[in-house]
Amino acid sequence: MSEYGLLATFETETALVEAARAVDSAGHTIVDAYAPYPIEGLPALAHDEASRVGWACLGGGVLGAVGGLTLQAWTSAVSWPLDIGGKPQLAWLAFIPVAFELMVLGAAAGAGVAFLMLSRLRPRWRTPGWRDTWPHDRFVLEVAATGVARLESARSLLRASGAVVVSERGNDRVISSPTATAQSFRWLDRTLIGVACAATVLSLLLWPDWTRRNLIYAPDMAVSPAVTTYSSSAVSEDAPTLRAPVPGTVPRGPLPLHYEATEADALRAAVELQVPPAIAAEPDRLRAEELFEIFCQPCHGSDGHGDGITIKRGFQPPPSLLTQHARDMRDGQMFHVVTYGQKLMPSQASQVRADDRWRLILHVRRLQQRLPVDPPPFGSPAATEPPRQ
Amino acid sequence: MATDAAARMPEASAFSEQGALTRAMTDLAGPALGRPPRGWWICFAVAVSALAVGVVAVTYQLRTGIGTWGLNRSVGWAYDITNFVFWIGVGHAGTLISAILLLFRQRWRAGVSRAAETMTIIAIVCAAIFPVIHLGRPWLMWWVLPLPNTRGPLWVNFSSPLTWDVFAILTYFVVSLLFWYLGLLPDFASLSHAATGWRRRVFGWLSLGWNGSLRTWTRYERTCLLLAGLATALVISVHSVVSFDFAASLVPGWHTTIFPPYFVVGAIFSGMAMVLALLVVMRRAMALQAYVTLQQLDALCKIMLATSGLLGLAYLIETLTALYGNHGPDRFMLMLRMQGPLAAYYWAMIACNVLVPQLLWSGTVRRNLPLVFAIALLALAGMWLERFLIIVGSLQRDFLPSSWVDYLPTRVEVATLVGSFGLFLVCFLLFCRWLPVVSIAESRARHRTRLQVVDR
Repeated sequence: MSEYGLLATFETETALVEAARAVDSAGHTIVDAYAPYPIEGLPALAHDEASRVGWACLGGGVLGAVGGLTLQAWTSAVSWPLDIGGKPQLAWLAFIPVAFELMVLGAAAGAGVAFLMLSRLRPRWRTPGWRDTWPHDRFVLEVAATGVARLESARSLLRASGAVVVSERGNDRVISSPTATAQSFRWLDRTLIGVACAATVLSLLLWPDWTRRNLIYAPDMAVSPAVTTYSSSAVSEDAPTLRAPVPGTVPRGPLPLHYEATEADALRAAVELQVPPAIAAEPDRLRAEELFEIFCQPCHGSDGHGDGITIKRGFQPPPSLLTQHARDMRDGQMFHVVTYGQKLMPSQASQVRADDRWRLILHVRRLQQRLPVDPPPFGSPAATEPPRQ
Repeated sequence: MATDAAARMPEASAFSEQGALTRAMTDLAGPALGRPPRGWWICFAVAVSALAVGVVAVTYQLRTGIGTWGLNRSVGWAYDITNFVFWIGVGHAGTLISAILLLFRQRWRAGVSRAAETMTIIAIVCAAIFPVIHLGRPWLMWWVLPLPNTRGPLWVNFSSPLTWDVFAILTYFVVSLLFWYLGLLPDFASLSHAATGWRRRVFGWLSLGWNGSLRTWTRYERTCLLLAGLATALVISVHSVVSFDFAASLVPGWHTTIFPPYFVVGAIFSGMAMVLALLVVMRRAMALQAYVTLQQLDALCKIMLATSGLLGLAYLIETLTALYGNHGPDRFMLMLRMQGPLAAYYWAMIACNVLVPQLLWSGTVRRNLPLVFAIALLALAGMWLERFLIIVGSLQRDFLPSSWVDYLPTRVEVATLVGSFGLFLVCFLLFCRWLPVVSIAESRARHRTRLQVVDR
């Protein structure tokens, strides 16, 4: 630039703008001006690099958008294509939001970085000369002049324009020497950089294997203690994790039955089993009715005549629950029938709890009390014999 | 030498313009350079206590697991996502004021923009807490990013709105931070000038060597305008993407095309409420009546009123669509909101978001700051209820009646919400303590304009 520079300080914005016009029309070069807030209308500063910020913004945006689309397409369709619910892997519509966000991010970063770089702004403890020019309460005009004569004419022009102070500035732009205290903060920069370098080197030396996790700082949940059913684990080194129950273990709830699904065992149950006193005392009729409607009624019919909906659709009819034979059947035998099944009737044990099976039997008994006796089914042995008393 | 020149400067208050410049400096930089008043310490103690509650709660739930929340097999999102959407929404006002109003050359925004922008950044941090904890293993948080890895490499699913969320919110955070820091640059230089000792050096370092050069100022203004344009598009996109989390699903009450504009308007409404609540207290506590003026608060109230009207329209359209669309589950959901177990929440929401803000039509109300404060708090409560109603209300009554369950937050969840408010207030109070809450440079520029008007 120039050999000499003049810094003229003004009290007001208007004075600065007027002085700048005068200096400009006198043919001097305005290097820059310094103000606490942006001022418009200064001559010779109209040309600026502001448009370069715009270009950087555009470039960043294009880079972000194209990069975003490429990243999504490559990861979704090339690197590891996953079939997620049969959806297309190149789902361009679904890629729009992320591409848009990355475009905005790229554009903002482009503008921001370009601004900082063009303005040479970066963190530093020691800033050359800025305390003199950064005017937190005044306005400064920097004028360049080549040669002593030009310098003096510019100086007098500035004085005439109302500058309260006009001072010279060296070409190196460093006016005030860095203070010792500011310099003393440099150790922080150096320490931080040193720590970062040491950490990088140490990490490379100590953990050279990048394919493995090397430092586990919260192991409890990062490495899950879950084990598979049949593998050995810390608590069961000799056998699968799933252990057999201790011999003689009894499940919770009703006691297990020791019967087979045979007619002989049904007769044995008739003698051995009775309605549990607790259920006899509190039969819970409503529940029994509900269960009968769900599990028995489809074949046996609501009243137990053996005319349920499945029969109307062609299923083999069961004998009526109201026959004398059924009335004579002991509770225990009926329980065996419900639990293990009989002829076409399947076992109900898996869907009706033991106590509920007793409730159902009590419900059948109530039906038998309420309704008249049905004749034995046609062709059965009971139909040819007189009913037993 | 210029150092001598600076020493020989005449008394600044000799000129009216000079006096105003210096006064702006003392008023605005004062809190950052002096000691905070007692009121600040009381507020700070309350905020730190709330934060401590949150820290305990978060530590507990990280050690124990997400089972400490009241979530169940049907309501898999509840308190956490409600708070997440709420906080993200609160942040939107900052970007609106700093970006959209900058584009529209609304000079009055100068007094409120810094506080609003700061609020945005803190609110995004508060919002991020909840989904991060919900991950269950927060130390694997970086798995949400498409980074090369040894798991295949297994990439994120770019067709998922949850992945869009990650990008939208990260971008929003970065751009907001950039915008906020750029705004602070000239003020850091001013503060460094006014300060002494270590503050002078730290503020100088933060100012990146700002020297007030007009070439820099020109570039600066261009950059701010560009960022404002970007942020305007961004702010619309962020809450739209958040609403896709819901709208892209098939749950009744979520699957609707009105969600993106509905969410954006609601976000701006709640954000304005938060800005108003903060500013009403701040201008009183920090004696900023000359910078945060009644006219500015009046304008904010009007924006709040307008967004409240838009929100009411959105509620109406949602209702009409459900009734006119004749889609069973949608209508069921509408009736459920109005009459179901959360009906009280629904009507409270209508009252807080649509009915009470109508008071702002009156200029007397808009100038009555305690009343404005109360309306703003009600609006915040109403917007929180809206999100809770959308999220929990829809999930607890699914298509399958067998999966209908109710949801109640646990103490741990409530404590986490309290903690997020604590974090917000702690950060905001620290901001009030250490940084100029009103932009010094913009206040000066605004004052200059006023002087010129007077001159003519």
